[in-house]
Amino acid sequence: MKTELSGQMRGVSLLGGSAIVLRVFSLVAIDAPEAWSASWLSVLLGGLLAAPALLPVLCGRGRAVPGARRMPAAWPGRAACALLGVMSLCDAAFSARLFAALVGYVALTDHSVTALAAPLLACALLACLMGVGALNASAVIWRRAALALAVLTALLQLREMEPGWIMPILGPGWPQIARGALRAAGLTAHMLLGMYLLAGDEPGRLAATLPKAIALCAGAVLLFGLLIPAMPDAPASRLFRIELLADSGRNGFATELIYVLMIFGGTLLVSFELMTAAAALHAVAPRLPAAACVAMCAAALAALAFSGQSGQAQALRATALFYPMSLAAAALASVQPKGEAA
Amino acid sequence: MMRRMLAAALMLGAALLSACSAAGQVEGQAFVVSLAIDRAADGRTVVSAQFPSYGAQKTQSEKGKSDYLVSSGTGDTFEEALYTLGAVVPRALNLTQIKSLLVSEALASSPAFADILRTIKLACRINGDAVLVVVRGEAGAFLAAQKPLIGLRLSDTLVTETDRYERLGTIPRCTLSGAFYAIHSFYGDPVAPLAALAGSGAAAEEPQDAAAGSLPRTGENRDEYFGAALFRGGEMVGRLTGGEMQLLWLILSGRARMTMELAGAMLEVGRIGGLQVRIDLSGEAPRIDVTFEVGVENMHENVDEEGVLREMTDGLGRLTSLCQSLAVDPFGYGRRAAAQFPTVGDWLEYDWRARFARAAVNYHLTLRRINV
Amino acid sequence: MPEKPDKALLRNRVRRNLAENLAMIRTVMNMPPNGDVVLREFRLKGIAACVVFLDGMAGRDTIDEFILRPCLQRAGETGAEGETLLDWLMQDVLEINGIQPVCLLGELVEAVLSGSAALLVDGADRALALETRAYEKRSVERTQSESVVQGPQEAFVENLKTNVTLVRRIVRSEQLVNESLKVGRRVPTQVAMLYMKGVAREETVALVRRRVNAVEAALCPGSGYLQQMIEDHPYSMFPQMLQTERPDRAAASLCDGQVALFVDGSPYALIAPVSLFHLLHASDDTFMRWQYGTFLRVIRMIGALISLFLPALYVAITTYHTHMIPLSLLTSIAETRARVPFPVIVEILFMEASFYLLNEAGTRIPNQLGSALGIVGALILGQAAVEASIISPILIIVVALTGLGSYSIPDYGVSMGMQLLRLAFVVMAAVWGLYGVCLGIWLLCAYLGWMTSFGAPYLAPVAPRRPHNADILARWPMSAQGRSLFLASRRDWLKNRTRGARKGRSADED
Repeated sequence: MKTELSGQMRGVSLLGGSAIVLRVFSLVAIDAPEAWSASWLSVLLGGLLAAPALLPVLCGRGRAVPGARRMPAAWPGRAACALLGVMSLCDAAFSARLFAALVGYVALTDHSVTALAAPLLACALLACLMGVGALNASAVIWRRAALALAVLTALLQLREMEPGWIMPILGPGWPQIARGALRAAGLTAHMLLGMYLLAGDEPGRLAATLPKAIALCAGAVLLFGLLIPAMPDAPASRLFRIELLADSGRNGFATELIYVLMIFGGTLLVSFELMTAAAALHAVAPRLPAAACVAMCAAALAALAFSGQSGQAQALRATALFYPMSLAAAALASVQPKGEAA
Repeated sequence: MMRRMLAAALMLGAALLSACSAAGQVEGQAFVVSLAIDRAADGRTVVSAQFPSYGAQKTQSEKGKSDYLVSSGTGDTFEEALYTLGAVVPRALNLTQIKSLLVSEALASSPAFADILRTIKLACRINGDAVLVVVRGEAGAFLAAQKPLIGLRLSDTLVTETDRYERLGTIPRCTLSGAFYAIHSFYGDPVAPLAALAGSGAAAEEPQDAAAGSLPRTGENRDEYFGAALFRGGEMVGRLTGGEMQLLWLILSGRARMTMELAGAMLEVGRIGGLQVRIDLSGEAPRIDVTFEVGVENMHENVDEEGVLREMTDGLGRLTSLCQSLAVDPFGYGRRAAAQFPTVGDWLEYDWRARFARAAVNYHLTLRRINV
Repeated sequence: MPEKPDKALLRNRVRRNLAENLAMIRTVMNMPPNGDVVLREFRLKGIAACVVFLDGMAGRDTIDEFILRPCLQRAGETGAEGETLLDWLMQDVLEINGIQPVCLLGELVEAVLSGSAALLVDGADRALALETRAYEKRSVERTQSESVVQGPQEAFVENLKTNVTLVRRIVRSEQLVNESLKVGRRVPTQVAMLYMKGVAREETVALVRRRVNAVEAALCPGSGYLQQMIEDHPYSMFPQMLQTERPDRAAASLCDGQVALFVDGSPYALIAPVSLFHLLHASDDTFMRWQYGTFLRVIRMIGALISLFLPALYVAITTYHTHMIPLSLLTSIAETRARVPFPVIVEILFMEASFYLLNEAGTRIPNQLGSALGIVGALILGQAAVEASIISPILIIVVALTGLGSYSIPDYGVSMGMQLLRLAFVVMAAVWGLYGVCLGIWLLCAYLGWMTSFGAPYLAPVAPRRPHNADILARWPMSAQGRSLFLASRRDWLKNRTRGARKGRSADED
């Protein structure tokens, strides 16, 4: 089985776009709901702030160079890939733990979060070993199924929606919105760079992916805001937010639809992040075979996810740093050392 | 190679054992249909649960009918009482299928209720879609009197009858989660259905002036759902009769027609279209103008349209005054007023509850005869 | 096993001495023990000759009427000898349409073994292979496994020539190429590779040819065997070639740019490359009106999903996700399960095992005992098991629906693959509930996306996306399907020249 670390842009943009939607949604809905009902503004603003991550594309790098070779071979490219790899690994661990907590809360209450994260990571590893093409195919099928499921979920909960719950429009105020925006921007930017690394052709399509993903995510967050009002004195713990997302005031069937959407999305997300980390490692150390890169990254990811250092508190601390790290990586990836042609 | 595959297959087989425990099977759990919480005379909390019993040998005529068991536990706190209950029921208690949460009026009127609701929401895996009902008298007794009179299953009976009464307009729609949100957010106050065992209160002369337990009727089903309980910040502070609840529905929802007695006639009444609410916050007290169209249908008699409008407007005015006197806003005007503020902080600083109590609320109704 | 002594003999040339030739033939064909090889010696105006054929494979009447009689009756008309005599016989005497000169003994033996007759003349260093095949073969009958309500009813048979003819009757095009290949080092089997020149991609044709020629097996007993030897992923549970017994389906595939392989002795055509969607489509989707075709296709897809997921979903929901089920149904399930001593997973595995047993027994049982199977099946899977409280009644419904779903899948290979995968999903559901099922689906999608069929992605044209007709799930009207399949090299070859044709293209663009 030959592991391909780059694929068609159309598929990669779908994969990465879906990952952005899910990750940013899970951030503002579960881990960091600080902007309350104005979280959708955080998402939109975060999308704007993430735009500089497109710098490498705008600089015209890698028009004809596939995959990891797109990054410059000299130190700026490797440094960019190292940053990207670290962010992807950390975020994959945070995501794996988050979705494992969701599973544990909704259904498998007797299992520990670690035990639930293991099959998710195993699944992501196997999928990544099959290559970007396999992930792209799953993403294409996911998109069709997810749209139908999401529409059905929204229709089932139409009666529960209260338009007044997103007022006042600025929620807790601009400081909280800005904090949320920075986190969202950090996640979006590093995933954009990941897509840039994985795409084998047409990197220019990335620019079209960003607004679509952000609009979808903001829409989902807005819908969520119509279903759950802001509650200043309610706990902001991960489990309580999962409870609000999965269960509150809905019939059991609608709950499971949300659950299924999140599980699929979580698997897609973790697979994408793992693949990005593996591609970044391959760019830093090109002599390593692709499959070995995937396996090493999966081992590191498992160590991080099982260590207990990837809970909500750690995720919040780390994601606050993603934005400056992503900007740095984007800047490094745009650098053209002397003598090296685009 | 074969040995490794065999070892892998055995390990996989062992993993299957996780699905084999009897407690995990569906028949190994007690799915609570209805939960009741009371405050005993000594101040302790009593939690009662009703769940179906299955597996007993039945005669041919009994086949298909379910038996229901009621168990209860007592404790100083809700958690203690629930723990005791869990310890005495011979199956794992499963609250994810619960259809109604019954709370006695005495408990709902105490500050403990909000804490209990919070505990339920945070600590128990419970069905948030369950109907929250305030019971006049003992919630446990009301729970024990519940049985599936028409049909085979109590769960279906509970869902169908609460749905039916909502459509009649005599009770509000209030889920456990909805009440939790209303109490912990900053838009308004929850309204919960009021229930009681038949005859627990003095019979009212006019049915629409009755609350649960006071309806002038007889029948084999002893549980009555009629009227509503008003809450302010997690504590019950007042009641609405069935007729008042129907008027409240005109504001809350443009739903199907309700049968109301107006101007001496029994009419099918419903709101047509949306509600236009203009809220002027410029003064010390807000001024609220509510405009909507009412559809009225009556097949047999001439309708005194002016009389109907007058009675409706007066009724709404009285209802609003009652709510203002209790400083509660079940109408949802708060949600609309909040849109005029940029941030939550500004909205909370406005102190809507206090201002609404002083607000001038005007209703402008127009009437349309339909199906004539 | 002793070394085959006559392998070297087969490389010998035909000799001028008839006696030597006959001696070699006797050695190679293991005569006298081998009793069905006939050596009919005769004289042509004093010159020795012999007709060699296999009794039962060659037509005796044809040999008598069109070989022996003309030779014997007209032998006196010429004074030629050796090669010249042979040429005269070929050109002026023998009344046979298929005559092939052969120089090597091996070629002569191969021709005789395939049913031809060989004519040897003393003094000639060549022989003539004469087309006299007349062995018993099955006539063209109705399809057994791909029945349709509307559409052709003919099916392929075991004879290679007949099968190719059935296809040629439909595809009357000079672009249809029939390439002969051989598979089997020890026992060669004829294989015909059909494709449309200019329509099928050259790389695909070359790949198929290369793989068939690279098969190292001693013999090829049938098309299924060949399929497993040349597929991209032989360890996969999903077939990467379509086996069809319908000539019309094979013809349609050829026109779509696919390649068809026919193995002598096998009543199936192997079509490649294929996608998963080809394997889920049935022939009569095309023959019916688009509304019925779409409806039935949707039913079939639902059947396939039920076949794969229903038992797993039942285990997951009743074990871990009881809050999904309305309480009234949950109570019914609990009541019926209250007397069953086994957990749900054991019930499911028991029922699945019974179902597989019944399936296999139904395939193997002689017709005379077939009715007994129905009684046994009803007893085991029906009332008795429920009355004995071994299983709950609702599980019978689950297993029955699952079985019906698997039978609705047109391709037997895909159906069997799904039945095996179903067990994996049941295991995952038993361990992790819906979480396990979702992870399994993700892995399955990734796996299917990774698979290829002779270079073509297995999930194309959905993933990766290729321009295609609206013919994947829904089957839109034929007038709206103007594109050729993405597998074809020429996009505009078989374009529908109707009002549904793509804008901007002229009708003469071909």
